[in-house]
Amino acid sequence: MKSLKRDNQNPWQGLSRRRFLGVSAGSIAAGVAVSRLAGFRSLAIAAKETADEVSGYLHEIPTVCEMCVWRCGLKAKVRDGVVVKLEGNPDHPNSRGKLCPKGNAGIMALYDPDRLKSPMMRVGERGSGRFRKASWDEALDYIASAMEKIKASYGPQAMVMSSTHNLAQLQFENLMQAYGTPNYGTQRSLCFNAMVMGFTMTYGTSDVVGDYANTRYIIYNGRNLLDGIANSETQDLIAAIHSGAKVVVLDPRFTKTAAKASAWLPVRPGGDLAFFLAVNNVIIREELYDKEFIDKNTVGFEELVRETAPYTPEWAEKKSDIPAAQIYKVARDFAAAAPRAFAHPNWRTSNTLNSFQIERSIAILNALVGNWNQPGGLHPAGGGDGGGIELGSIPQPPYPRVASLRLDGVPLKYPLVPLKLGVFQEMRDAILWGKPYQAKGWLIFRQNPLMSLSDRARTLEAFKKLDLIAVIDILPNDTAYYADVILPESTYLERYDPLSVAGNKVFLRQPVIPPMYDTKSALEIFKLLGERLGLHEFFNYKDEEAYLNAQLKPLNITLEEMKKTGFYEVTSGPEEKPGHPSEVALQTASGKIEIASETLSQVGYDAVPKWKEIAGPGDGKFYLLTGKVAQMTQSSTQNNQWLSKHVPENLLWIHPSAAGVRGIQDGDLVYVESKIGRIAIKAKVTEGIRPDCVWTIFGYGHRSKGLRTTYAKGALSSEIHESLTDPVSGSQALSQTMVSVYKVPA
Amino acid sequence: MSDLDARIAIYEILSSAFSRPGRDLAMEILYGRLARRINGILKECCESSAGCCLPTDLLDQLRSLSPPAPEERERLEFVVDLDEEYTRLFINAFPTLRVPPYESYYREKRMMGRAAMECLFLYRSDGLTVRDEGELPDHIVSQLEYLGFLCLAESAAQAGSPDAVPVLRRKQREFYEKHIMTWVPDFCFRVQSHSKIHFYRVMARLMKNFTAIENRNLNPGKLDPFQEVMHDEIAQA
Repeated sequence: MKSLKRDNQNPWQGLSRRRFLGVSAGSIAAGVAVSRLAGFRSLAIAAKETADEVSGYLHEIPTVCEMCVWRCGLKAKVRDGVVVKLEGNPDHPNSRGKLCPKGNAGIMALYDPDRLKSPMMRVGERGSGRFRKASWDEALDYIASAMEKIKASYGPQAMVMSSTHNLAQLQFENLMQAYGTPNYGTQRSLCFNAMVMGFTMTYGTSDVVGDYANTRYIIYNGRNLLDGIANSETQDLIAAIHSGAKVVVLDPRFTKTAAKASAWLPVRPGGDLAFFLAVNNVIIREELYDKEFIDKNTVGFEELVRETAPYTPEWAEKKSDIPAAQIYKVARDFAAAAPRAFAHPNWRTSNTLNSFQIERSIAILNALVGNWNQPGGLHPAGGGDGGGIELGSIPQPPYPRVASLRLDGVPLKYPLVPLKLGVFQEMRDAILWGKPYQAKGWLIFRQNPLMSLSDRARTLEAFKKLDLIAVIDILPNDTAYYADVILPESTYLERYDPLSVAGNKVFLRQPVIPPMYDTKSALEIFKLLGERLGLHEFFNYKDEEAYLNAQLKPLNITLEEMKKTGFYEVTSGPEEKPGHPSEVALQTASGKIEIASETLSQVGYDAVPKWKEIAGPGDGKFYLLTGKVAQMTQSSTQNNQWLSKHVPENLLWIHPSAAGVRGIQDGDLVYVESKIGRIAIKAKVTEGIRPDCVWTIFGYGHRSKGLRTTYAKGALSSEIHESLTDPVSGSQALSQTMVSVYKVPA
Repeated sequence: MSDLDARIAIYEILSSAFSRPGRDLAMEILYGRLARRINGILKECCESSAGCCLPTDLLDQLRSLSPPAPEERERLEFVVDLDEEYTRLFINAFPTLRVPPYESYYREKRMMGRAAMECLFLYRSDGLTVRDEGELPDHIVSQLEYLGFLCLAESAAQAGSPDAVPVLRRKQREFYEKHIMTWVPDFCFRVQSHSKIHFYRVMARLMKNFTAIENRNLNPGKLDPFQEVMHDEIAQA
């Protein structure tokens, strides 16, 4: 870019007047010499061929959505360079031609006026919010030199890197491992550690899916597929309901899924463990289990029989508030429907200190009735993220060996938590307390720990311990506000990402328009940063297209072809492996389904699930619960104008009996106060919630004024959520913060 | 300097002023070169559209754009200050971005809205394109450059093809009516209200007055010549 000329001359001078050919439509530029436009920064004389661009022609470009993590295939309709409509790709197994509200509103993620538009460097004190525009070179050089300095002075482990589920995550991990730090923070412990570990300790895999097409009975424990939309699975559930499947929903709140279910069981938070122990108790006592299946495929049944004996429905009624008769009915109906029945593994299972054992008891329930790998039951999905399709990779050297401890206590404090899950909240605490060593830098890729981690004030304190905070994102979110350097990523409609695999198809995320601003793809950002860190060999690709070409190499398709179709179907892929689990050894210690787990008992945990009492809210207090709404994804979509229009703020659900004695009416502003803080939020008085619980949507209450649509709307649960952790899975216990609620004095 | 040359020069100065500032612009301001240049233009063409009718205190402000004899340290700080202020006003800001420089934002509260598309079509139909590294079509700089381009074309037409002059004047008039006047006064007012740096306040005031005069001159007999300027005086008070 150029600035003002120093001389007094007209900088646009040089027009040759003789060359003027007269004015007719389209030929005005012909009269103006190109040299006179030399000083123009934005406009230029067009080459002849671009004249045809203004055609009104509707291009249809296939790509992959990123409004949540489900990765729906979509088709972007682009007219004259503007994205005018997004539609589900009928060929994509995750969307089947349909997009959710968020997917439809992706256009406003692209055209949000608040987007990050260029790299920025902080110029004031950290947290002053004073930034200046920077070039990519300057911003990347700054981050790289700070990271080099940290590595040289404190070792690579002093650098924390964190990110949340996305297609470029593998390359982010590549950068992290090449740099040499073991300190990786993800959302997993805030979300699904308990589910993943509960099912892995039982079946050797957590990658399981319900056979909705053939099922007759589904139990969900808190899973709310009609708000926490997982597009294709949500469609499957609706189809199953239509074809007459029974659906039982345990949830302290009357969710949209509960509204469509056959039965809503408003369980006491934490009492779900008692409920499932009692269901198992009935199935054992009444011999409703699949004896042959258990003999053949499981270990530890006898121990379960012994330990589950005390957990009768009559006992469980007192712990869960679900009537004993209801528990008997669910147990008997579920067993009768088996094996065409499944108790869903759920997803966000970060609820109580016992969440791991709750998930174990659900996993065991499925095994008892023998619905594993049977029509209508639970199936191992197989292949995980790779889906069984081998993509090509780019040769690179092995990563440096990591010798240091991890900050999050894995595996010393949490021996069974897989490294890739980690315990994010512990990592934050380790940064704050400087133990076992002091972290010095934090690179945050498309994640918002200031909102997502419980106890926001503690996260802010931890930030003060760091010499470097660098953020890569598309929006100026709360975390970016505290950064030293901000790198703007292109949105998913403007960039390539690594390939996405779904079933036997490979999908391409590709730019449907060029980047609107000075932004880059994650693939390019990591490469540029890696090269500055001397890690060239780990980023052996010229650009995104070269990376994708390498991934596509083993497949029978070129990138150019894929740009048109958006996907490639592998027809001669690995054979599906149907049949009984006895034919396939499971990835557990015993090779069988582990009803009792020796691995668990070896490290001092209960081999079969046992009841553990959890203190309730006590007099006049409430369990604080949080959840989702169909129009929002965590804390990342509130600034989307189309979505915000529908759910501009979050409200606090409170039961009329609890509201009445406090003089709270619908719409009143109330304080919600926990041990660690207080938020103000509007009340929604409704019978759709237990009287001892209050509930709100997570992700509102943004403090960044850079987000003009959502700034200061609603309130953030993380400001009052205490950091409590399930000792086995490292999962956050998000339903165990007790709060009092009272009216904000007028 | 002719009237048209003066207009071309002022469009160029304004589009420079609202582009990302670099060290060169900072020095232009600090050493008074920019002020001298503007005054030179205004003096030479005081008979013309650009020079007359500007409020006298704005002329004073333009003369005093540069602070007196800055120290080396102050000079370096000014480069950063200017960059920070540009970022805060026009790109991304904590707190709130006060002055998005895009017409679509003012009219539709989004990016690449109808206004941007209309601009893009106009540029293309006149043989222009938006550079890859350029701003969006409805960015203030793109619009100022387009007007500068139309003036350049008018200047060329005066010599070679006088029939074209009225066509080009009509294009300018319509661009003012459909685009500039719908948002630039608000844009300028916001800069004047929110900029912590004198330079941007003065340039915004210059732009508001200049565009008002341009609009009036392109619409002879239709508008009260002093109406827009009076508005500026009120805003200043």
